[in-house]
Amino acid sequence: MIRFDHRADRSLRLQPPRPPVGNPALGRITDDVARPLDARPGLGWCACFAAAAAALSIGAACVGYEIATGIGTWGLNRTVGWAFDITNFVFWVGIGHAGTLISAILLLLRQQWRTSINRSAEAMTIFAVICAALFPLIHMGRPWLAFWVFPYPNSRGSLWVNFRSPLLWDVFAINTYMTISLAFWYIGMIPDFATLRDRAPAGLKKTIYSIASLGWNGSHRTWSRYETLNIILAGLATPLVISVHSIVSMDFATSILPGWHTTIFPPYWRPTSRTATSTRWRR
Amino acid sequence: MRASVLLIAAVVAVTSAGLVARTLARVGVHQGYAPEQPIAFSHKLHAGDSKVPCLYCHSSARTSRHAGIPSVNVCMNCHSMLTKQTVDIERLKEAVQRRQPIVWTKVHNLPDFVYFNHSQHVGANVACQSCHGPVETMARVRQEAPLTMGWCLDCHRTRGAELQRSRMAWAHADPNAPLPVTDCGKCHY
Amino acid sequence: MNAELRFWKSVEELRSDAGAEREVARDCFAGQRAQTGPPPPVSRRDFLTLAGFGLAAAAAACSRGSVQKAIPMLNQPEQMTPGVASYYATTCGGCGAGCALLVKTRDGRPIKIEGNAESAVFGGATCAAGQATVLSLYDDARLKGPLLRGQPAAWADVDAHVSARIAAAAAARKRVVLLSRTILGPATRRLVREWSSRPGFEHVTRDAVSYAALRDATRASFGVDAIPHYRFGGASVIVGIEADFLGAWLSPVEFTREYAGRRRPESGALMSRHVQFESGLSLTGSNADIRVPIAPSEQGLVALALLHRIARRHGGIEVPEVDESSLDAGALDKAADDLWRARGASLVVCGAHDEATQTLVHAINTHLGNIGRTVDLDNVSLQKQGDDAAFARLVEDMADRRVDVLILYGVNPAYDAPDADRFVAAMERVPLTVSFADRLDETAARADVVCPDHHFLEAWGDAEPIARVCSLAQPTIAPLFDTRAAQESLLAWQGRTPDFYEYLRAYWRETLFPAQDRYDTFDEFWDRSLHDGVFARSPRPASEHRFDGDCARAAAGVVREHAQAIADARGGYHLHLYEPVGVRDGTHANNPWLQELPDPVSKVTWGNYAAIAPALASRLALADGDVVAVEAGGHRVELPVLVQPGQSAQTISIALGYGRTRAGRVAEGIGVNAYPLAQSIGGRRRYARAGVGLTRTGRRDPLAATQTHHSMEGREIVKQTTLASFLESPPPGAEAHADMPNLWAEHPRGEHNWGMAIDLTSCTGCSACVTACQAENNVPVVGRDEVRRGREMHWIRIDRYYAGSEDAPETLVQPMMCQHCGHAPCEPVCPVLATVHSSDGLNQQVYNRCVGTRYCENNCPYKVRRFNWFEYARNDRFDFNMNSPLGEMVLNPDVTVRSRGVMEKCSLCVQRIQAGKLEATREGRAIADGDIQTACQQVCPADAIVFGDLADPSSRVSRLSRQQRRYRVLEELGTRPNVTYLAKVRNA
Repeated sequence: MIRFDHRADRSLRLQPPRPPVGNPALGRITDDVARPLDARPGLGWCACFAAAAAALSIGAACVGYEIATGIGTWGLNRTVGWAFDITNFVFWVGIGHAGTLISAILLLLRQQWRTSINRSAEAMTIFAVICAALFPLIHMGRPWLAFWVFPYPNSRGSLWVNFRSPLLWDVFAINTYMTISLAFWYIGMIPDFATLRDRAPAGLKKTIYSIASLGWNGSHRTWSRYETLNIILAGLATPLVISVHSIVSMDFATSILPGWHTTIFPPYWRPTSRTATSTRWRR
Repeated sequence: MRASVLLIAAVVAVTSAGLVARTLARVGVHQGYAPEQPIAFSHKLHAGDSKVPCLYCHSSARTSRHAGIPSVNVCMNCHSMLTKQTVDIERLKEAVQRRQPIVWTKVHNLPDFVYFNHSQHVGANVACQSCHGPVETMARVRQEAPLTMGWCLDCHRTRGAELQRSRMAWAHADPNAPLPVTDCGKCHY
Repeated sequence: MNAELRFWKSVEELRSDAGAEREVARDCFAGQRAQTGPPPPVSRRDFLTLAGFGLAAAAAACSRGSVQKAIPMLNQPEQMTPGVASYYATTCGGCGAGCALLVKTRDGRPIKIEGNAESAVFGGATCAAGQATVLSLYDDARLKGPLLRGQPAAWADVDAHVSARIAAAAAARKRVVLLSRTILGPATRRLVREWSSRPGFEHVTRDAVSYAALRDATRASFGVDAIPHYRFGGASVIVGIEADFLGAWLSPVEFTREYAGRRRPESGALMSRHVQFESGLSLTGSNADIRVPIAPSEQGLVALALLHRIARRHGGIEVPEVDESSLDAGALDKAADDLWRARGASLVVCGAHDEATQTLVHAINTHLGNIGRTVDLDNVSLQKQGDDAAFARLVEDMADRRVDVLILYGVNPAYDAPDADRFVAAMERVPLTVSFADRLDETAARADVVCPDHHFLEAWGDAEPIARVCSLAQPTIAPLFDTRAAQESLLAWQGRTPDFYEYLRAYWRETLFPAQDRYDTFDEFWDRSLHDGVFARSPRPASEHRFDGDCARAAAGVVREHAQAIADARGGYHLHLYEPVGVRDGTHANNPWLQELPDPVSKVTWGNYAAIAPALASRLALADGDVVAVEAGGHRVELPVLVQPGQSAQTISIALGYGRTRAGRVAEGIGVNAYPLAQSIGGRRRYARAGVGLTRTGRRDPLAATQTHHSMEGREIVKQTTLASFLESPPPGAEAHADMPNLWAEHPRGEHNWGMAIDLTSCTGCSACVTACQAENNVPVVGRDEVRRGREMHWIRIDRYYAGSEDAPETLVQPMMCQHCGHAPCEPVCPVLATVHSSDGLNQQVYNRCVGTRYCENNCPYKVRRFNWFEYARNDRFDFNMNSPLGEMVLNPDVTVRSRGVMEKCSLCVQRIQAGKLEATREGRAIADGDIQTACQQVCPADAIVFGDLADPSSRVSRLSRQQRRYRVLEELGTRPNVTYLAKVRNA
């Protein structure tokens, strides 16, 4: 069990963030940044968390009901189309791309101001991709068999997946994107884990931070490898933004439905996704 | 030292992953299932020692999708004339007298979404033993084959294909023609 | 003896019941003894054994991992092998037409109805209602045993009670009346004659929807007390006046068969022309080459105007002039011209419930020389013999307490009489009422004694729907419940042995056996007739029939009525009530298959509606689903509006047969009962009236329609041409898209290439195929709400498009199912290969592989894929046949019941293909063309659907796919469908 810091008594309840005034010392900034992790969460935070958790449980209950009853509960009345679920999927993929754009592309373009928001941008990417991955899963008729979309050896003689299906490539694309984004996010956090490790008193918390920081010692060598890796990952993530959304758009564009069947979809979707608002209501 | 720890860890991980995969792959596979039956009918005694042909008792395997478990009157064809008495034969005769059918436990179970037709296979001269194993040596019948789709396809791809070609000789002689034996719709509808 | 057969879900459940062993109930496989005489005592165990194999094995497969039991029969009957279907010939009891049937039974249960191809009259086809009758066998609402004063009773007690009361009534010289629907069976007819020939006993016949006017007119005109047998096959020109002869009128299967036989454009001038005058857009009207909307009150005028024109051409006949200002004179002239040109080979049929109009129609047919050719008065139809006048007298007598015992056989006047209240009041004054109803329906609920009759699939019987055309009915299953044939009840109450089987044999021995010379012994003759199901004697040759009708009086009557209607209609509307194709007169209201069957024209399911013309709708600002109140003759019903193109301007059309209150769970609350809106004039029922009020209620009740968009959006989905231009120049464009380039490699061709050809000229849209497919392929019923969401599950649908003006549109229908594309758009998109191409050209859907991404449905340009949004079997939310162990017995054991979350679609009846291949292999021969029939093909009375092997150039489907009229739907997408359509040709 994680024990909170001994300093975390009532007097050390999380104070509202202090805007940096003047030219504070680096140690002060580190203190300020790390303070939420040292302290117990405040009432406001608890209230927000409770509200979010309540909303989440409503969502979870709905999804549970849907999985237990059948996806007819979506209420879809244009049965041949996808509906809110896939629209939402596209929406979340778009949100995720906005995060990658901030963190990766701005890194490649050496925009210094990105550092102030890149952690939250990357986290947004991760959670957006998780949300995005959730929707294709729960829009399936039999989500408990979703693992069938992965090619794995089986006793069916062997029965593989359909490599012609855009949906399959969608799965691959989302998975790749998720992996790269996770790695990118995690690599960026290593020095910070090290800072937390150094601040943490001995105990479980320290052990966890020690493992998470992968032996970071702040030397030039680690910093230089860190920079290189970050650049490489940014370079990998940027084309993925293009490929993922192209593939997502192909889910629609390869169908022969009037209105969907158009080659403009991949290029058309990318700029729109980059604004993170790339959602059109598709019935 | 560190390398060897890593190596051991890797070996353990790979082995356990393999074991998990193997276990998962056997979910729903009941190979070796040999339930106890209400009457300890011995196929070894009947089909093995006494050499009663399979289709004598399972006659509907010739005409129906079900091989059929013989009705009691089929048993009594012989047992009304045989004098040997055992507890199990007594049970059989009791069933006749009480007009109570015998509730057997099915050994070979296929899921509902698989259409299997015995007559089709018997008609193609597939020996009963190909799928049911050496039943004539089994005192209590057990499921010999895994009855997985891959196992079915093994035979369909080799023997089935061969049979199909020989039968289709009259129709067309194209050696590359696709064969219906591996169509999904052969068994799933 | 416990009357109720128990059903169980697992053998364990069954065995855990200690009382089960003592329970002896009816068995489930009477079929095997059908040919060998009376049933031997068969115990419940036999059913157990059988069902043990079939049901338990099939059902248990769902519960993976659990122990499964197999219970063989104790003594296996020789003709029966578990898992092999047997077929028994019988006669349909679904409506009054009496079609010959072949019933498929599996493991002792009837599961599918087919037409009996041995019958020269009905062929191998049936209608939608006939297909669905097998489900009504397994209807939970059926009575499980006799009721005495509402309480379950033993047959012996019931018999004692009824016999005593009848004897008392007879002794006191009081009247005992048997009120029945038309009895088709000659043996039953004799039995009823014997019953009612005793003093004080009487028999009155009454049909739910009356044909009395036609029958009375025939008697008055020709001295023949029957309905003529119409021969559409001999008619080059057909004029229909409000007669839905392809839908529900008289004998639709026979008529459709003969009608469609004359709709072959390839035969050139032999193709018939069909003109229809009608108010609502009926199935028949939607097929007409020329359709003229008229108000219901104008039916007589149309007949008179036609007679006038024919008479003028004929010469020497006096027909009074008539004011035709309200009619379309041009259409009448043209129709009369056509009729006159085809005299002797033309036919005018009329569905009017007015004797004068029918008399005029008889006159027209007489002057055209059609009597003895297309109108057969020597071999008459015995299908509808209801006598309205006699029924009206009966109600009077009942009300005056002059009837002591009333026996109701196959009738439900408390529901379907226009003045049901009067009947119900009169019924209360009858000391003893006995009903043979199979359920506690509106009338039976008020009867003192209910002696439930068998379902026709459980009973012996015979039928003679057309004079000298006989068929037998045999049980295909032993009675499921403790019911008894009505005939046996009648025998029992006469103090005779209640064995109708012997009675039937005796009748056939005495009456029909001497009428043939092929068989020396009666047993041979009987066995043959039972095997074939039909026994037809050669028809009587045509004899002279003089027309004795009083045309002048009829004309006067028609004019008077029309004037009266115009006077009545002032400020109001005309009302037209009709029998719908699905639930018919209401008998089938509790049948979920028929409730969910889209109306062939409006495509509305689950309930009736008030159809109004588009012009009227826009004038009253009404839209589909707006609830209106329709008031007529002091009755008021509220129902939603349907804006029906082609509807006569001032007429409201409402379907009968809905609004049942006591038919069962399924029918409850579905639609409204429109029978009270009908009127009785001189004791004769009229299903039309004038002066009807229509008011908006402000409520909305959205219709559950399966098609709400009626345009093809400029795409040539249904190709259409006229006969003249077709004969002049063959339609172009058939090959236009054949060689579209494609990214994918060709599928390798196997031994077969299954395909289908659908002739849109033959197809009437009768929708029998929809129900046949539902029965064959275990297609679930989803209910009204789900249909509103567009989630109906039918694998085959009939698309209906309107072309032309709203007031007089042309209607096009197109059966649409999976096209089994050579380059199927659904196949490349499925991530898990759940839909793939087979070696023999089928697009296969593998349910157990499907994970339900619905991408295939998305990408199918034909929109024929159906998704299981919910679990439709064994789910209380979908409380239809698949939710009851009884209703489940109808399921086809060779087709998987799909679980929720998977896609499904037409498989071209792959189970039949596999069975056909297996049979051919077993017999060591090649599959012959026609060996394999899909369910939709087999049922089609119009022979519009042909299935076969496209790899065989001489097969029928290959020849049709090479015809000039051929085209493939949305071929421009490069899908290369294996289904070919033949363009619609109109003879207009």
